[in-house]
Amino acid sequence: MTKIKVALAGQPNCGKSTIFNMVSGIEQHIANYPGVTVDKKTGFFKYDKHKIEMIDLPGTYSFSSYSLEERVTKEFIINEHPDVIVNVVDASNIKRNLYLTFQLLEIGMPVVVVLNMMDVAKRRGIDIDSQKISKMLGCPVIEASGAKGIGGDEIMKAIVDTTNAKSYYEEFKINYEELEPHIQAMEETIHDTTSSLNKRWLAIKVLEGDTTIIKHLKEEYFNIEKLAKKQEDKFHSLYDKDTVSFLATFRYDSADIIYHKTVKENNKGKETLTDKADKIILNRFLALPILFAIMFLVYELSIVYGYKLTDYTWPVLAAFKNFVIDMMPQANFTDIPMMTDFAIWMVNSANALANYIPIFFILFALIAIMEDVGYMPRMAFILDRIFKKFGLHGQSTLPLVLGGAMVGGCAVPGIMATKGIADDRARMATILTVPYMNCLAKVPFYTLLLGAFFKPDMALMMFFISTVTVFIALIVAKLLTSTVLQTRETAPFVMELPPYHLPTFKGVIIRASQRVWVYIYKVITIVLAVAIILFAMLQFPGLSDKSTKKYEQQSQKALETFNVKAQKSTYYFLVDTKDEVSELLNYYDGYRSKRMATTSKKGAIAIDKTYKKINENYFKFIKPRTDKEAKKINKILRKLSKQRNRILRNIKNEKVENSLLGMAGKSIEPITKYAGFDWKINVAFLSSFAARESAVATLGSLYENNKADSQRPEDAMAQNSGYTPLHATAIIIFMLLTPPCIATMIVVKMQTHSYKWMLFAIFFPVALGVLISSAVFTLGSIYSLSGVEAMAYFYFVIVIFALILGLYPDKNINWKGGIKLPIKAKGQYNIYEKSLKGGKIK
Amino acid sequence: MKLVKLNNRLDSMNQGQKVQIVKIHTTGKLMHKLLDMGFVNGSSIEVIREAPLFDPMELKLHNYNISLRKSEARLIEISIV
Repeated sequence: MTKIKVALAGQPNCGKSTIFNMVSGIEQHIANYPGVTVDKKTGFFKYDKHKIEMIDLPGTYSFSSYSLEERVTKEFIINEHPDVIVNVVDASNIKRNLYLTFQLLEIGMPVVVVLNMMDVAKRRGIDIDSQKISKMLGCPVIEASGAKGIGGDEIMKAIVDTTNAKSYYEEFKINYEELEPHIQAMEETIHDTTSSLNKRWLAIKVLEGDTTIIKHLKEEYFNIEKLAKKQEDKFHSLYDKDTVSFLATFRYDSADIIYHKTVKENNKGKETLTDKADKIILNRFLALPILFAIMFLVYELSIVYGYKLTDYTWPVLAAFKNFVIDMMPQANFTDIPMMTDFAIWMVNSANALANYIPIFFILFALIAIMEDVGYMPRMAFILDRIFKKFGLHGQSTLPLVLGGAMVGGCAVPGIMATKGIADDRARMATILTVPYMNCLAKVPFYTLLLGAFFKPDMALMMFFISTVTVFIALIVAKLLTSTVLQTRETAPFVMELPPYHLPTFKGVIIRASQRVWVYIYKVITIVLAVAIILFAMLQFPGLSDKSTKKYEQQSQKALETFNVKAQKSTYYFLVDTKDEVSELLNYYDGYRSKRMATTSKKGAIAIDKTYKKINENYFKFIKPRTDKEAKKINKILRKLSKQRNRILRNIKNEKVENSLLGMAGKSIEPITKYAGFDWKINVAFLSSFAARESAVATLGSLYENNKADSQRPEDAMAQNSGYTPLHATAIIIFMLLTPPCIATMIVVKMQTHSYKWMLFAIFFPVALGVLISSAVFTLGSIYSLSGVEAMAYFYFVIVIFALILGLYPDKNINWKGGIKLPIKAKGQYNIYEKSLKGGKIK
Repeated sequence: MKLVKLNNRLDSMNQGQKVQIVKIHTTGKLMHKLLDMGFVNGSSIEVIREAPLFDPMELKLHNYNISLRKSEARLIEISIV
């Protein structure tokens, strides 16, 4: 069996991924190209005793050297030597697509052209003579429709046939007329290269100033750049043309020749469906309302309905938790083995994140649909003007919405959606501002604080909280793009608005599943690793001997009380030892937690049955019904359970206070006191780093009143913390800005490909948060403002600042050039070089 | 950099106007990108519309639609067909 390596290339929107999905099925492997965030998808399939490995190259309009995707593509060709290049061409937009085809043919490797979307072309009345194209280009041309599943076999056959006929392959050449002598001179220079690539192609690329190829050849010819420039200058002085635009024009003209000889458009000038739809969707007055409606729909379907869906998936996770607890050694009254504690902690951390999987799946599926339909670039088109002002890009809309620009969201899918932003500076700025959006997991935290300190003004405060974030994000974006991100590469906003297409079900499901898998695989694994560290930091050094003794006495007392009272029941013989009591307690708690995890009546009956089976006597105490003697035990059992929980909570709090994390919280008090934070708040913030949900849990348990058990956490906090509403405002403002959770930080790392930016994404918001909340708290204390007043002042300052920045005229133009400059080939070359060097992509 | 509106530049064209590219006054990366997208001398362009907030603009070129910010459209010298 022979192996064939195939590279799949094509322009964006040509339907390359539907062709890829059609031929390779679900056996796909995703990785990154070395060192960059561009996805590398590989598919494996068999055809006629041949093993075919197909690599889906990133979609590129051209093969020049300025974009990341194109650089990746070229490096792939240089290093991996595919046997065949399959070029997917959008049949309904053949002319521009052929521009790339010519560049691929020039590489000097066998090419198979796939005319995709033939059905769309036919519908639009475009007749294509594919045999003639095949003859003119000297390569097989296959008609296909990826969306309809037509042409898969023919493509595979063509790949195999082309590979088998490799020895008959004759080099493809374009006669570049007046440039020819210069190409030949260049070819002559590199005639003894060890590179196995086609020399003519290398020569042309060098003349084009292609940095990837120049780098490739520089080891052998150190002065290659100089030699190329010499040829370019010579060409320029002879014909007053520069090589780059000469080559582009020549290739476009060649594409034009093919187009005119093989394509007949019967409906030319007629309005297409896309034109009609765009008249409404991009209408000056309707565009924004439609955009908001679509965003609202996406939000509603994914976040709101997805959240409802978690009602059904949560019991599964809860069952998993109970299963793990059952496996672990049982507690002996207040003495819980650390192993069990640890298992519960880990399962809780995993479940907190796994709970979002339904939401993410819906969200990713909707994004895939919007991408396939072609709405994404239109969204960018509509909103670009606003975002441009703040250094962002039209394409930043979706990431910000997913992050929670409207009411709430999650930064993880938000940051993952930044992948498609072409402008590197705007993409970085978007990645770093998405975490400022309203995280859904922060909502319970706000509710707790608002319930405790702002009961009458809850609605107003919630309005401030949910709207101020967008303004903060815009200010931060402007700040970053004009400082640390200033030197990042920017891309001109030259964006295709492709025709609308119906998405394929298979494509959407594959993409959504792949993205969810990335989330599970990368995010959850690392979060668990950090959870272990946090657990250790909360456990050690543990309780002092004195406290251990104190809690032992308390436990003893509770048990004795139980013992005395239990004697009044005829069932006393069942619970007259500590081991028995402890077993009964565990039985009782286990039953309760399982019962709470089920919602159906059927499930409840099943649980009753299993527990009855485990121990029929104990079951009587849990559900005594009419048994008076059992009722007595039931009553004191419930009381004992409460007592036990209280002791456990106290132990936990004391442990936290003495723990490494508690010490850390205390050690930063000197800084945070300006914002009014004590060590307890600090610990809550530190522990919320693992997952924000834990902030509420930590605060809740730290402030719980030890006497009255029925008190709600917000009341407990209001009474026991000693905070004023102004404190609460400072805490809320800090929470608005920070802390980013680790899941988010991991995707920041994934998308920026740099630990440096990840650390920046942690410390910048924290610094900003401490600074602003300190300012608000300090000023608020001086002028004795109430919490709401302080929040209102903060809100208006932010809004006004954002408006000033937005209305301030743009000063910087992102690239060189303009009508004032007389153009010289030499100057152009230098500027081109500079703009490439300026943008470092790691 | 505030530029005087020039009437032989693409950015000053109105919806529905058809023009032909005469020369592109830029260099480097932007030049590359424009060439790759088909902005070569002699190509015809139709102005489809402006974005709802007046910038960028949508154009039809080589039978496909593309959007361009006005700051870049200003660099394209055209003649009205």
